[in-house]
Amino acid sequence: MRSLDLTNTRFCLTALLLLSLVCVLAPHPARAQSPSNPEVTDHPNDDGSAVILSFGLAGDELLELMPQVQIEGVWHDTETAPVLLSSLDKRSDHPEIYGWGVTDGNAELRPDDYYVPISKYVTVGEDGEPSVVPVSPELGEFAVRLVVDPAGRAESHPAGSVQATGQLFNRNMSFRVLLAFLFAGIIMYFILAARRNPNIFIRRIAGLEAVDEAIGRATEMGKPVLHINGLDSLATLSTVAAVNILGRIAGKVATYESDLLVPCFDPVVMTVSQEVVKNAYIEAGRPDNYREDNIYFLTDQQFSYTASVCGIMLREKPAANFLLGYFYAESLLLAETGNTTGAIQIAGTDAQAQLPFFITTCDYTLIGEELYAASAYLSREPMLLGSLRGQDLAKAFVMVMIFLGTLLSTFGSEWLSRLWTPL
Amino acid sequence: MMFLRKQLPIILAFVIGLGLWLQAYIPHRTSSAGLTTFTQSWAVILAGCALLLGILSAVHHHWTKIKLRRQGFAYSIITLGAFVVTLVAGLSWWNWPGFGAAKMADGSLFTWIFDNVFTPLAATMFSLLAFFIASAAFRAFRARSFEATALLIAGCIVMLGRVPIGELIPLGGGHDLSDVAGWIMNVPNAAAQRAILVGVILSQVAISIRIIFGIERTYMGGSD
Amino acid sequence: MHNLAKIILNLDRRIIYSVVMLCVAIPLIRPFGLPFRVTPEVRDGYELIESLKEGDVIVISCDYGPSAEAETHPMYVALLHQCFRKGIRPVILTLIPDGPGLANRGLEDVLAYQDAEGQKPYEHLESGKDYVFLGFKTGGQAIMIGIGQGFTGTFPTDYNAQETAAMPIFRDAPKLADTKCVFDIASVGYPDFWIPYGTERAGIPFIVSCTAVSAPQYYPYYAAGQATGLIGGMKGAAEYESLVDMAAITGSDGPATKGLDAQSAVHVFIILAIIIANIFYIIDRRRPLSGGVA
Repeated sequence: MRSLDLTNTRFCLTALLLLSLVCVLAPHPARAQSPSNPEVTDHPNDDGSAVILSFGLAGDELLELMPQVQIEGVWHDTETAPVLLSSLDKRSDHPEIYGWGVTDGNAELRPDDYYVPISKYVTVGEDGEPSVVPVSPELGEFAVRLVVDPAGRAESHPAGSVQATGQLFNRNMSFRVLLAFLFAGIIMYFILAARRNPNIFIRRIAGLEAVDEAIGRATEMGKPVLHINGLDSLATLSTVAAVNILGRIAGKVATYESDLLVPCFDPVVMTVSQEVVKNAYIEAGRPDNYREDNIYFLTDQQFSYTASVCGIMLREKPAANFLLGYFYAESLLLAETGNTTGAIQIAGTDAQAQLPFFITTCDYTLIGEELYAASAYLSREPMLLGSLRGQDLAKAFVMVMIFLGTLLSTFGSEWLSRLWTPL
Repeated sequence: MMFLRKQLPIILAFVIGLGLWLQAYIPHRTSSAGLTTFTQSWAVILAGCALLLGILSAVHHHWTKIKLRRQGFAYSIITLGAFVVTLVAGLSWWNWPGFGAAKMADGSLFTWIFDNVFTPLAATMFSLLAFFIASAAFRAFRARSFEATALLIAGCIVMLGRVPIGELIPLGGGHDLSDVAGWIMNVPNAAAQRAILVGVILSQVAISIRIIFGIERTYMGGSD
Repeated sequence: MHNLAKIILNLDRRIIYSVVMLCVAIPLIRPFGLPFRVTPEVRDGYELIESLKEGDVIVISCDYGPSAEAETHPMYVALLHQCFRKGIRPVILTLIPDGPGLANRGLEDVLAYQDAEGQKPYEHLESGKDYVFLGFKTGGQAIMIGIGQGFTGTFPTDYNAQETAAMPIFRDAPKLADTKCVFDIASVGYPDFWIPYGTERAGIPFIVSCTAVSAPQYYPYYAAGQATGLIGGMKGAAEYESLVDMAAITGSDGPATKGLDAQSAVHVFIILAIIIANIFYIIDRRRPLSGGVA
């Protein structure tokens, strides 16, 4: 722990280190002014790893003066450690600290436009080796001063004292929290509303209408149905959506007394898939038809898995392939191989880059959010359908905001765009 | 038993889901330290257990196939054989004849298998994409409607514009085909991708809420 | 004509595959050396790295496996040359299990690189001080959040089992926010996660290098400024190689540049195939209509 080292070596700290920052012009000591009103404050909205020193200097004076400036942290009036400067920034470049000011863009710099974030200082350990130590709350309160040395005469400017502290709420994220509550509120409202009024319209999704047809065809041909849950773990939400759909498909397969093959890319997905399918068979009243052997793990290597699934497609010749979840470059290999075997193919993914491949080679493709809607669509469960309606309203809200933001930006007001800018 | 199978997972999903969501807004180091410890420890534990589970499942599947002489069982023999060879190569603490290192160190049999068997095989599978893209484009890229024609033309421009030959096709005014391709990628493509992304993210918010509040439970292996 | 259309439209896939194979093989054996220009999205990424000072630390996340080696590995090699030449110190890690082999091989190749005079310019570089390879750790997003808090806590040892706590590179850059950028070279979907879990939290720039197939989905990030640079596929890697001037460094074009002619040839063939297929599709569609078939 660095902070503990600091406690041990604090009394030994005497070395000074100067890091020249912006030095492109030859110095003119006669014109250079001393920095005015130096002030040190805690870095807002952080984990307690930085403080901020701001001071007044006009831009051109600063360039001249900076090579002569040192910044020191002082503890108990006697222990001094030089601060390692990483950068000298304009306030307007950092709205996360100073907010969106009027000095951004090409506006003229004002004397107090500069500040220095202080997150590291230099100590000399017991072995005499200098080391860099990060600022932390454990450091306690310490004073900061600028030492300016024009023409060989050191001039000290105390900037006050401060303790770096970590905040419990990042105020820059207030708007995001508000949005999260708003969206969650809208979705929850419609889920609850769906309990009272379960008759919710949902537009026809061709790919999902074709599920029955695909499974029916497989049954007629006496061929199995192949389901792929994508190539991601259960931590990816599209995999969760795919497993949800698997449950619905398995129920139909069980009813038609067909075979279902689920080769898995992830062992956890395999276990969950086994449970989901088993349950679907029990609910369909065909528990004896359930075969755990049909839901198995292949490999977690992308192209080994692809080769293996292509092999299954060519050997078993499934009559219906469901390719649902998150896919990468293997999407076309799987879908094109499925196409050569003549299977009905229904794909669904939120991996935008893979959509063109599925659209080209599959009979039906669920695009992006349709994959997430599939579970609700197939089950017609009112509460799930209610969440879809909530989603639509949230999307309408985003569309209005995009339109307004574009309009305001066009007329020179960045207010709305900044509200949505992540800080 | 019912509590373990039904209620406990819902309670866990609720508490952890809400906790991870709130954590994103708390910059204090205790918050991220807690999250890091929690997620990293569990990620490692789960990955280890899952790997074991996966190996057992794969071995069981292929072994059953061989035992019952099912269609394609010869492939299962090759799979299990390759699995055993790679496993032994990775675990063996002695140097195999002709190799200067043991276990998974550089120069070992294991790295030889990785570099000379696994890498070319994986690259071969990936490179099949070029063949499949050509075949799929030939078969499915048809000017069936106005939209399909627009898609086809845009696709051809991007294909040509993203390779050096596109820069040799001038369009006047100092521009060439690669500029048009760049515009298609940066403007209409980015706009469409954003639209899909917004829909997907909102769907993910909805599915997360459904999971956190126990409305969506299919993933637990049970019905709703 | 109608019969010809039928034949063409039902052409055996193997014929198409054979032509593709020729289109790849011939330019590789006899390159045309087509010139190419650097696109703004690649230049932006390159210039960000160029703007860094000697001693600055960056993170390179090698999230690609052997399958995507042809498209992504040349980018990694060019980037390492750029870093070492400028004295920029890379912290290299991988979030996928099949990543360490290639990442380590690329690093070793560049460190052992010999110039035209037989000198090894990077021979003096020390692991832990001038660069470090942390290897693979499972967890993906958890790792990104973890290194946001501290590298040494998340990776107590590096790829060669050396303790990271004592490494000078981590004294200067103990956590992600102390580095100058994250450069993700990916064949998987990790760029989507690096932005919210890594770079936005740390407030540092992000550059993505990916396969050509996945490049379109990262354009919104580039357009929004969340990704400073976007290097897509072999073409992007070739552009980066030209900016780093790999031809001058190694005495010949980089592997991505060498592959561009083959890529051009295949693209032209695919376009010709689409045009031919559509001509015959139109012929095939018209005939039954003129024959009055309902």
